[in-house]
Amino acid sequence: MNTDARVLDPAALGDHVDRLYRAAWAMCGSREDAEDLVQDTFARVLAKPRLLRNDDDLGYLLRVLRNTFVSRHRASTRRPTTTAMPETFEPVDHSIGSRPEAAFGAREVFTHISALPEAFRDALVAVDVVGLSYAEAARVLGTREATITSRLYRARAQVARGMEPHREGVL
Amino acid sequence: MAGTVPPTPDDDPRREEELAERGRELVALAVAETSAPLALRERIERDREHARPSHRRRWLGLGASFAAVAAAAVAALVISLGGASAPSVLATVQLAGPGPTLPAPKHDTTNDALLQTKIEGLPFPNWDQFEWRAVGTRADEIEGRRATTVFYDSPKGARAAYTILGGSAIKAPSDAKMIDIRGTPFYVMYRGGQQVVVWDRDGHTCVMSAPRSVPEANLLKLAAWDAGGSVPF
Repeated sequence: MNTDARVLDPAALGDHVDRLYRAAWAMCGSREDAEDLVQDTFARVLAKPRLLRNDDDLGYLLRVLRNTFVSRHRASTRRPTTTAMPETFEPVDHSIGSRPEAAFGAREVFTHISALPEAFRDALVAVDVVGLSYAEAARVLGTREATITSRLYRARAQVARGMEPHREGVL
Repeated sequence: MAGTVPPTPDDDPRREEELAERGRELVALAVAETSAPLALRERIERDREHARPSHRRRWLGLGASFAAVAAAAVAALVISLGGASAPSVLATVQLAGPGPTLPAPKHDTTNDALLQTKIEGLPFPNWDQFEWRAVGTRADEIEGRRATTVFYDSPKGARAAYTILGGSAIKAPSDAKMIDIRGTPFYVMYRGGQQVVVWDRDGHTCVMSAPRSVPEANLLKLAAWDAGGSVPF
């Protein structure tokens, strides 16, 4: 085990923006909130030198992102609610090429992920969205690899089920 | 007759497996299609710059060379041309993201080094002789300024977006590499899969973005081409 502590290099943070942005979108279910969440996360990390005890920068950043998301969520529940942007309003998104069908698909997938139960969502975000290994995800989420495996399986199935066209009730 | 209850579709383990695999594929597709917007990268980069002063002071305390400090000061002077409310380079690059909305510009019949499309009197170059054909245009407004973009396609299928920003020149990002070509500074930087070149022509900022597959030297050659003075700089 590597026990040497090192300082997280702020110059290397840019390498992780894409993955953290996707993770944030999958947590929040909204691109605008995801941008704010990622910026807040980086602001937290940059506020002071960060000492890491392993090479897993991404795992560390995901943990900070998740903590920031949870804090923001708690804070937002204490504030009066505001009216959400109408579903039909779609700000121009330059991050998804110029293919509207791709934008729609990604948005729908991230919306379904954000609606998953927290434990399932965390496992899916860590492994499928951010790209951590099962072992890394287990370490970040403080659980066992076997738990990650089963949560991931269920989370994937729930996302697919949510994306299916509405099925008629079975009599 | 006593019997077992037939499984509902969602209890069927095989269907659950198929769903899980389908879910994995859907997420993988969404992930592959999504990258952080340039504006977010820019905001983070700005935060990182602001978070840096203590490090800078430490460096100075440790006796960083005078030459390095002087060079940084000169670079800051050279690039600090824009006002506080000026749009950023990266925001300008983003304008080109959705692609052309207007037809390809026509050639200037009086000067075959130019296209007819202009912004505030400054024309776009005609790169036909390099086999980069103008294929479309778009017009935008950013921070109260006009911005016109011409899209050029190479024979190999790469697309470059060349934007000229109305109004006075803006700052180049501080992390850009500066290359002097015939006395004009060209700033080169990389964002996502794109390389971006920024330079000034006749007091206006020009921003060109193209995939990284286009050699940097080719992009600079196009940007700096003045056709022996026919393209105003």
